[in-house]
Amino acid sequence: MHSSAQLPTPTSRWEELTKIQPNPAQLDNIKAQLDLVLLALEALAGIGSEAMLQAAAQLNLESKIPDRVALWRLRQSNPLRKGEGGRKKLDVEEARSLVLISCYLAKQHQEVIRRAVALLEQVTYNNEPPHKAALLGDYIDAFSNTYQERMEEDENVSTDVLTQLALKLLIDLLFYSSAGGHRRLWLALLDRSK
Amino acid sequence: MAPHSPLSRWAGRTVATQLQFHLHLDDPRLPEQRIHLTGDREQLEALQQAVTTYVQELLNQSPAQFNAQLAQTTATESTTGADSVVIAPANSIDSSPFSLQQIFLKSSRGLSHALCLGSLATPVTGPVVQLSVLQLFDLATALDEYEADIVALPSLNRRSRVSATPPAWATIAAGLTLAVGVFAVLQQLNRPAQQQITSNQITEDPQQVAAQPSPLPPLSSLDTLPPPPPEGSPVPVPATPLPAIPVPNAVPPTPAVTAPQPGSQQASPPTGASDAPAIAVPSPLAQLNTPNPRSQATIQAQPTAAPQSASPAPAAPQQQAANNTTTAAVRSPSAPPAPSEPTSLDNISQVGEARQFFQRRWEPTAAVRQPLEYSLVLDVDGTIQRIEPLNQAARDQIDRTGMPLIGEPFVSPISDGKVARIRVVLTPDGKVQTFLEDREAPQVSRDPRENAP
Repeated sequence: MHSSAQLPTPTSRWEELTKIQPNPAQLDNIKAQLDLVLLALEALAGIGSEAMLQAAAQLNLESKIPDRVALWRLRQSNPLRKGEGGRKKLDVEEARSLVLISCYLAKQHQEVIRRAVALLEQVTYNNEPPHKAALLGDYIDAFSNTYQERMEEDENVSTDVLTQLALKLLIDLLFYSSAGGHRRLWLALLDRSK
Repeated sequence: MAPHSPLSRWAGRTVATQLQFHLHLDDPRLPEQRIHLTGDREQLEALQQAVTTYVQELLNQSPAQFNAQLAQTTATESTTGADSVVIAPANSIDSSPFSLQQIFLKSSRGLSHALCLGSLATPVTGPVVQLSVLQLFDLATALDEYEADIVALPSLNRRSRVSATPPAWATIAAGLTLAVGVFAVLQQLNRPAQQQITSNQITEDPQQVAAQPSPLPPLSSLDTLPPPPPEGSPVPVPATPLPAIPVPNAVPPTPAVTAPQPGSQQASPPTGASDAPAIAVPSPLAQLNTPNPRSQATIQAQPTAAPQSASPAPAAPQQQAANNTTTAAVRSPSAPPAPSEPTSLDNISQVGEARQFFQRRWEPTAAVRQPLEYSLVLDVDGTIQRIEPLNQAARDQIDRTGMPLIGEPFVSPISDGKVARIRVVLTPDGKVQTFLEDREAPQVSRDPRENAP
């Protein structure tokens, strides 16, 4: 258990959390993480930018993310991305908007997330590879393919690493899909970008 | 002797509380073994703290740490969590939750987690219970619900410390059954028939109950939660019963009823080891014991909002699912706690119905000196989904307003399927004003009613 003094406790409320201003380096890292959370949702639930924009509209976040181009720019702000990746600045408000959208979508797709986690537990318990379960296999493949399409080539990223990343994100998504998910995600972003 | 809550230490009075929670753990891997845990509120809060912190730690892990844990094949089940703690007598004011800190979690074999029960351990359970990820998630969700309900109560108080401060529950009775495949959490408040309070500890000083205005919530477009109550303000101990707590019944969607995703096939048949958990049908239990607090101010305690229908029959899904789920996130910005001109959105008939509803019930007493303002979120079926008192008076007097309970019949269903937020203003001269504040997207969180026959 490590807990950082300057970080709020997990029970902190969202308003309190919104007062925390990540520094630019943290934000850079947050950009990458958020892009990956959305990527996991895309791979698992088959959602695209349309669903993300819809979520933005329902959360009254159109001012932050008015259209597909704006969303694409936010996603492109991930420094791991190919080409223009990382050039765009992502401000705190935009990061929070993406947090809310991610959790909203996770909630919408909680069923498939639950099912995937249940399968993952089952194959893990039986010491079988995750691909043994079709849903997991499809998810991992979709995640890996999309990741490789969009991100800069990195020799360190093997199939295994991508699989682990996908599975970790899957379990995280489950916890983000509950009522206080946006708090959990924001705290995790702050913590992991330290 | 009714046990004192830790609140007594700083509320300047004794708040007798008796909360018991029951936790049922059904492990699909051990179908014949059902674990049952029981504890009081302090233990529940210690458990909640432990789970919340642990989950956050889990989420904060890097993928590499996650993988290291997954690769771990040796079970780290230890028996060091054996209960060696002596729980302070219930009536000891200084019984702090610290003595219960032995409730903690740690990672276990593969994806599972070990819940070290500490003071919750029984000879049957042993000191440690293994939880799957889904079990942990369901437990965390159930505990979040519990906390959210506390937060939703009027005249509650929270210190911004690590441990959540219990509110004045003294006159609330509620039952909560949560069957989420693995857990059934049942919390029940049993009020002692006669509450004995030592005279030297009860100082009914109205000055201590000075109302403090709620802080203005930040009006950012991302403000998605109702404003927290003022910190450190004294807790008014209600002389009349508080409204019954909404009893959430967060039943996560059951995998059994989902249509298979296109492109996904059934997984290999379970080998009987750990199948996806079967989801138990919730049997909500909303008990409303009419309390009759014996405080110095004896006021006839009569629940103003008598349920119009009998309490839901077992197996009928609870009226409200996790209501602070989506709607909490959908709302933006939150209603300012000051009266404002209603935006002339498309008015809906429910606004008028709500006005008539309160006109029939609203009878101001002398205690009401200023308008009581509430922001109500109406679900599409015309029941109330959330009640947000917008000023301290509204918080204190909510039980005198005739406010229906969450999930009770209130107005007619909303035809366009959108959630509505209405403002209700009850004035000391008996007038009722209602207007539409906002239309929101329909809830996307699963509602158990969808599966209702």
